[in-house]
Amino acid sequence: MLDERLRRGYEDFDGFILSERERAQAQSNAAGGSQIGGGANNEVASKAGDGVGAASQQQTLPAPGSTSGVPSASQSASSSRAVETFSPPEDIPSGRDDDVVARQLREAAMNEADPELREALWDEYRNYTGIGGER
Amino acid sequence: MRVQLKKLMSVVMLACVVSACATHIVNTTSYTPIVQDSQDVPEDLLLDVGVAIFDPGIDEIRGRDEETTNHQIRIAESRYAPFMLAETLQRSGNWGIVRLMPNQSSPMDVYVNGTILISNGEEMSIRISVSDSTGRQWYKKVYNEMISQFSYDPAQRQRNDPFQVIYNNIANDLLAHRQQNISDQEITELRTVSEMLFAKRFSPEVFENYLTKNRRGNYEISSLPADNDPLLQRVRDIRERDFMFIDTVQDYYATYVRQMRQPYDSWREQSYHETIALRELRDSARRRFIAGTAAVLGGLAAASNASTYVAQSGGLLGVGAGAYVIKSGFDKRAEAEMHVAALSELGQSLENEVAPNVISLEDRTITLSGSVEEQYEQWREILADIYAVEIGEL
Repeated sequence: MLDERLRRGYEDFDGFILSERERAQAQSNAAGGSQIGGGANNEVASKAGDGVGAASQQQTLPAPGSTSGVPSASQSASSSRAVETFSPPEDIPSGRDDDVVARQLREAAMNEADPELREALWDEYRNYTGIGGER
Repeated sequence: MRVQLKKLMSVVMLACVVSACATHIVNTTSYTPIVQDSQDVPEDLLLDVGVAIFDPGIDEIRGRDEETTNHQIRIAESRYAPFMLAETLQRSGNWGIVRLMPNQSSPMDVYVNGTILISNGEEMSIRISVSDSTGRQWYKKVYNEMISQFSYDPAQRQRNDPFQVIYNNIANDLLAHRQQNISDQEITELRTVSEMLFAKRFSPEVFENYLTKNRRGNYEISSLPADNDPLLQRVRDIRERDFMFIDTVQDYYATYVRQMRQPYDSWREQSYHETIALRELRDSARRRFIAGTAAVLGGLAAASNASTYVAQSGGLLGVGAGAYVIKSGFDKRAEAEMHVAALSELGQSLENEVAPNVISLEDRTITLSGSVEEQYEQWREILADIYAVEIGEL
């Protein structure tokens, strides 16, 4: 009898939480689907089996390009711009030994359409990697 | 006379040099990635982490920072920053579930509390305090990061939060502490203490005696119920639902962060430039006041001690030069005030945008917590009745 009351309570609670999550998801979709924190998912691969957390994370943080949300303006602009890449200047080496920051600088420079900004990013890359001897 | 003139010239020259000197603060572009545990830790040895809403640190804002810190933005950041930290910890894969906690009621294995000390787009400083479910303090540490303009580059921003390094550093220290100080047996104990604390919350009459407090006031396990204890099983069912509730709150926090991100980043980037300009102008003004005062005093001393007309004229020239430098200091101060006003205006603009979101988030969280707590109260009563039946009171 008491267990039955408990079970009914679970059912009510589960239904309540489910509707609340639908509501939260609807709010999330209305807010736009840009990934929080910029992602950096290539930095560390999440372990499988994070339990409730992993499931929630996937739900609350849709990957870029997922259909669960409307991409933000900045995301759309960036992704359309990323299609075009620009070759590195002649003094820039292959980048095989780049660490994560150097790699990000290189990618940012190669994807930058504005020549002045692009050159500034390559300068930053040179400074960081020590090509200019200033690291 | 020549010696006096030389001294005077030295003072004036020094004043010019000092007023022109600039202090350069090096903002870093170095990036610390998240460290992942090299060992593949079994799931039952992963600790669950609860990150509390940060203290906005309004009581600790001192001096000139008060002029340029918007309290409402700090409050908004006190929800934004811990979410970013929780997300970083979860992404590291070094922990079990990591959640931004809506309240203090749900026991977790590890608790992370933070206070925002500085946040102006250029610099971020957070005081972090870590403890575990037994109540033992792991450590306290202040994290400080000054970032470069590069962090606001759109391509870079697409990948990371401008202050991602600070969250990575906190995550890496937390991992290092666990690796160096917490044995597998202690991890198991921490997990058990968390479970018993949760059980005690729902059925204190049954689970109270399984935990005792040692001389330091930290919880210790004195005995344990059988793993197949029916009441413990019921409590575990309820705990699963408590996690569901916390997960639902995460959805609201995630939406809040998503809504805040764009205007907040824009504010941070503009604030970055204004903060640097303000600091440089204030430094420049201060140097000019010091140098100008030195030149005036030197000139006066030279003029009053001079025995010839030329030396007196030289002294007065020094006074004039000093006065000019002081005046330029006032000009710089006035220019700095314009940047203070610009920062205030920027802050007000962001406040107008984010404050309603903070209120809405709080409303939703409090309402949800209230509904859940009502249900929990019913379950507490049912568990108490079940226990009474078991011991023959009903």
